[in-house]
Amino acid sequence: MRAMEAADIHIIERCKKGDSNAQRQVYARYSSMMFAVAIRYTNARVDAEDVMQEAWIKVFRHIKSFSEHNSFEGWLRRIVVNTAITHYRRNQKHQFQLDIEEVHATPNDFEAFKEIDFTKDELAKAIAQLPKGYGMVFKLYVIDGFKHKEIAEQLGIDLNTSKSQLSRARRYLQDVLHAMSQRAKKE
Amino acid sequence: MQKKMKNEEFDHYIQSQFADEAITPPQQIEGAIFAAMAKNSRRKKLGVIGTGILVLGALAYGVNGTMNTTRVVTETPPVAVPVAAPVAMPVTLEVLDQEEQPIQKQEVHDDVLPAAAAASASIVLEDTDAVENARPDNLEAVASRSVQPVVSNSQENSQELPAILHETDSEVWVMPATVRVKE
Repeated sequence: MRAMEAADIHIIERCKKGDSNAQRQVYARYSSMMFAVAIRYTNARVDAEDVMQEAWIKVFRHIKSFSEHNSFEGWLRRIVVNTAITHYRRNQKHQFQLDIEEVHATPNDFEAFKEIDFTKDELAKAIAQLPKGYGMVFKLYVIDGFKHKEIAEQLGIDLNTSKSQLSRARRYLQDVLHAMSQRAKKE
Repeated sequence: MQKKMKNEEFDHYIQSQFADEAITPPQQIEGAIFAAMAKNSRRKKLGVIGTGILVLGALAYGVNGTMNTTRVVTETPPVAVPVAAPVAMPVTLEVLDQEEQPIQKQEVHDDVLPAAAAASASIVLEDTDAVENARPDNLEAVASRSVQPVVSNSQENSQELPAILHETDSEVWVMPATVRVKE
């Protein structure tokens, strides 16, 4: 583990000097993670590719500002998430936003699904069903560990809006997962 | 088995499922990213070269401007020359009157413009000196001039001055004033 970290630091140092071989090594190591994050936020491969490309250019342009005391993967993740948010906000005005109350009723608060045996793909599909704005808040808060204040700033919404959207998203998702588990049980 | 989950448990469950998410991106993305990077660095290099050229141009322009300024400064002192010129005036006119050579006619024209006369007079002085040198009467004076350095000109003038005054008598008008200004 120590050796891996030292190797990472060495590669990052070379990237800071503009070494293209080191840049390709970093890309090879982290591109799968970056692309997964990009897909999770965009829900579309084509958009994810745009976000991915933009994020990597930012990474190499600003890599000098990265401090070795922080997690490099965390730094990369932040960059791709921020790029995805920018992409989302850019396209937001062209999309019709549904309110979660219109989409689905949430009969049982915190009444969870039966058995927790969903695959990652199933979870991803369930999260992708969330209305865009709610989905963004949920992913930022639950998966990527953003605080409500950060989310509000990034998405340009009120702090309380972020909190209420998260609450509604949770209930909606739990409901969707419950329905999925019921369907699987019947089959 | 129903399980009631709290928010934190649910969040933790979801988060753990996405902890090591990875999806292999299409190959062409890598090419596009590094092509864009190369384009950016090329643009950056061109920018640096352009800036360098601009800086060098500005420096060259600045140096040239400074040189022009110094040239102007060095060219200004000759403005004082006309002050010394009147010294020659009476001598010239006097000699020209006496000799009646073709050059004299040009000097008569200069008389019409008193301001310009000062400048042209100094030139004529050399010519008339040459004429004067050719005269056998003034050979001694010429010899004394050629022996003495340039500095002695004022002394020479002041020495010759009384003689001229004696000769012309009525033409006291220019000589004393001019000599004092030069000293």
